[in-house]
Amino acid sequence: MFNKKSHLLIFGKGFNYSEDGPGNRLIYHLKGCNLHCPWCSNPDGLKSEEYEKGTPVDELLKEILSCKPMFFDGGGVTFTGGEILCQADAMENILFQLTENKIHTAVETNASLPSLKRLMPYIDYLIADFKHPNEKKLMQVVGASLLPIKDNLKTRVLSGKPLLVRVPLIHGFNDNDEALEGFTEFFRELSELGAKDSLWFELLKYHEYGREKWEKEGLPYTVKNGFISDKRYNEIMEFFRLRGIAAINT
Amino acid sequence: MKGFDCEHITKNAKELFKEERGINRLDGWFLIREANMKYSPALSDLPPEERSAQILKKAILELPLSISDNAIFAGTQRDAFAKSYALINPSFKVETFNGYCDPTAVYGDIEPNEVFTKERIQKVCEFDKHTQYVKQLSAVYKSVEKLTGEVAFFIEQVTGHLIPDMRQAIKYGVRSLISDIDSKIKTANGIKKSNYSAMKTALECVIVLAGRYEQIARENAQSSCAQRKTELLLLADTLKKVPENGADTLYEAIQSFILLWQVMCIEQAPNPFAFSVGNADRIFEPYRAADNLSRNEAASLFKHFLVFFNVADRSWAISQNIIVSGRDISGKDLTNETTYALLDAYYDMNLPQPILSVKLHKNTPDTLYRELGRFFFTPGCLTPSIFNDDSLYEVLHKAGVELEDIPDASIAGCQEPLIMGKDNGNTTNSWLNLGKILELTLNDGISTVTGEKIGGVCEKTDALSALKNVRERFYENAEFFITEMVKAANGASRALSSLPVPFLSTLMGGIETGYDVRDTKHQGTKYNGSGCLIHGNSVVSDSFIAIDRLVSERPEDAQRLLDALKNNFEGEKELREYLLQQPKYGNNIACADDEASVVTDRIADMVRNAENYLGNPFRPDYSTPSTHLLYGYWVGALPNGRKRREMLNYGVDPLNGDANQGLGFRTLSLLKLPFEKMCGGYASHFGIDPKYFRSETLEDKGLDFRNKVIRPLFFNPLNERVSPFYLYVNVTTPEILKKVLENPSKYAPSGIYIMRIHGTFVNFLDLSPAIQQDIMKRLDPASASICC
Ligand code: SF4
Repeated sequence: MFNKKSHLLIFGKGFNYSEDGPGNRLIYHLKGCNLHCPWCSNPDGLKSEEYEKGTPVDELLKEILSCKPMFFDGGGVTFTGGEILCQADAMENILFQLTENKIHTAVETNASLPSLKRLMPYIDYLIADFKHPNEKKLMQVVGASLLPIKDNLKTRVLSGKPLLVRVPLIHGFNDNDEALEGFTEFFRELSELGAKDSLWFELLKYHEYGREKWEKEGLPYTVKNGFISDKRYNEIMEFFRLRGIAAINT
Repeated sequence: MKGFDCEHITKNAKELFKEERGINRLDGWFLIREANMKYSPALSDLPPEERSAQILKKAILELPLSISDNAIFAGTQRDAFAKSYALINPSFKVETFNGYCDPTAVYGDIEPNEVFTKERIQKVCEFDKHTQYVKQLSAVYKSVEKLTGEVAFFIEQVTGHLIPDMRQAIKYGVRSLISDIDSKIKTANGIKKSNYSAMKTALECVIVLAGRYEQIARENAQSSCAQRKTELLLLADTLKKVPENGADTLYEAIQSFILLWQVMCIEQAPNPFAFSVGNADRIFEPYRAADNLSRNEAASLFKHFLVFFNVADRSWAISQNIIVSGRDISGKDLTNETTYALLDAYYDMNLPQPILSVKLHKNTPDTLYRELGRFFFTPGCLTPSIFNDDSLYEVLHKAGVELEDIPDASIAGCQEPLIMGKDNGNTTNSWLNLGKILELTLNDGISTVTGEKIGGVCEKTDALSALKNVRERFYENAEFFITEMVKAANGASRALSSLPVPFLSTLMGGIETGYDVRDTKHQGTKYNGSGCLIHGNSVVSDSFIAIDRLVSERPEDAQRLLDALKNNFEGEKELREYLLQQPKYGNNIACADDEASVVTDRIADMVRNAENYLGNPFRPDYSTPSTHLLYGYWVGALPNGRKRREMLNYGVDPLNGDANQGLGFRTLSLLKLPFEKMCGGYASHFGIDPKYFRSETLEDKGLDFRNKVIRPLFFNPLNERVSPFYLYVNVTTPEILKKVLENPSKYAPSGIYIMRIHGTFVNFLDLSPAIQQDIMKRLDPASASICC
């Protein structure tokens, strides 16, 4: 029987190097998401049926432990989505066990649910999206409230543990000066709360890895032109730099 | 010697290649064999070594020669090759292929015409059939006919497949080698004395050849325009100087190399496949540097050098390997400007030959990975074979190679490591089919493919005992087949020794030892061994695991399993499904991977314990150059669920379709194999979807490739065993290739779309349909996915 605490719904896995956390990492993609970003590259992760196909946490742990020789350069496991917080109970379970086994853990999340806080002690490296600084716009386009996100990120910074804040830059959504000012303000606020050497901001250029998948699923892909030109990207980097925020590009 | 017009030279190189591709008759090898027929009776009193040298000289004097208007160098290896290599022959079929064992079969590869009439061809063929070599070889084949009929093993005489060391000849000139021989001859006697005299004659051949080309260059110059005249006069002056004397410039060094190579190939015509250049960047860098040539200037000369390795319409001289980069004994990187110039030449020309290999190591500079990006990520572009030099040092040293020689380790043919100029590895001497041996073990020595009694040494027993003791019985049979194989393989080497190769011997340490490379009584090279290509390690280990499960979970089905194997699982769908469900190698499942490791290790030891004609060990080589298809065709159904006549696993890779957890898991499985035992080499292939590499530039993708593919496999700091040392990749998908086949003029406007099959490059469009399909299947994307 599927059990919410002891089974995880996973739709993909594979290794990757230093793109989703430090070193060489085993990445798991979890099914389900509470939001509906139009550019999502895993729209198939949006459906959360097929519960009977869950992987037992102890099996998963065994698999991860057998992969230890691949976790070089400070690597380990990354859980990403969909949205891992949709399976918070089982996530807490596996993250705890991995911590017990001294496996480096990373999580990539939209940070929009309060359950993130109880997972934090077991997350060595947290990658959190910060998609838009404006409450209304955020709710309207992706369906998230701003407050729990801000709250989660602040809590993380205060804990002193590593946090990478990721902004997916999307033309027509969050690349105008007003949004940029909003980002700046919040980044400053975060920076003032904690140590510089465990907090990073990253600007990711819009891509269309998702388009094909949406089309395969028979869903309309509604982003018209989300691409950010190199010129605009450099301007935005400069915009932040002038305001004392050094954004990185992994 | 600066001031080349690089653009002009490049244009010429491309024209020259086009011209070569337009050639669809290869008759030179026949003229060489005909010369042999004509002259050998009169020379029959001479010792064989001297006779070979004399005949070589006659052939060199008589061969028709020419210099193309597009050539900046003189020389061709066209006359050494026939249109024989099966895999690039469109009429090739797995079903009818029967190896290359008959040395007179090549006479079927020449189309009779008015000049080369049927009768003329027949006459030479008949002459060859009565030579000692062919008679002796035929007797060897006859003696193992029953065992090779369905390829429990196969053996062959190894021609080509060596890496000569041309450095001395290029640097000091052939004259200086001759004077070395003169001083050796003074104290030599008996066979050595006559060998030396033969080597001298053989070396003189290349001076004769240069002289003939010089004359042609001068003649052509007379009727040429001013610019071409200057080129031809430079060529003529160069030929007057090299290879007789030492080279000073890169241009001279390349010219010298080309003629040495030409004579070396003519000496073994027809079809000395898989001769290799060795560490080309180290051979040529001193001349580039002395000459102060820019990367671009050097690259333009190398473009002609590369064209030289392509023979006629389908590049019939296959498996010639050029290796670049690598490290010295202390671990210092040896990449130089010539490395990059050669890469530029390769990239711009994108030819089917010669194969490019790169030795990487822990300290390989980022720049090299960045420069390699374009090869992996340009569709239809050749990709280099990748070697782990750190690991090669360990493996070769353990196999007895002195450390000081290992910097000269390079690759003969596809992936067999040899020491340049010092190592006669007889790399493709024997071929072992573990799948067939398992089939015979489970069916009391009787083929389940044809019902023929083939052989084996195990006593009959009941089904359950046969399964319970399958390992013991399998290894006992393996020992039997290996013993028979080795006897025959050594017989083939002995037969070949009646065709001595004095010219090649001078480039392989023969001047030092006084013995021929092929001598089976005296060792002519510093290192010597014989190769054994081992097929089907993981179909066997997966079969063992499936048998274990069946014996423990449903022992009552023991006889049913054996019957099902005989009947190719007909009417046994459920049983086959059950077998297919059992753990398979390649998914990081401990029991399956450990078993694969044990089978690989034990068989390697058995092969290594076998002695060749000089008492040297055989070299275990887990590579299956398309023979996983050919040999699989003769293997019946196996307990891993594989059906009759299906392919075996390729090299040390999991069986196609059996690994589905992605690249990282497959890498983890690979890391468990005993690479230190594979001193003869091995093969492994990843077919990777380019979508996993998302950096914007080709250079950055090169670094991604290092991070995602190479480092985990080769330079994984957490791997405590000897790391893998070879990989080739195709960065594409079956869908992309389908499009190329459907619309070649759109996706390969030049008519060239380079892919890799086993260690060699091929023009995908030249391949037989069977092999095209195999390549697409073998990409096996699920086994090499990176991250979704
Ligand atoms: S939060 Fe992530 S997974 Fe969820 S819809 Fe947005 S992009 Fe997709």
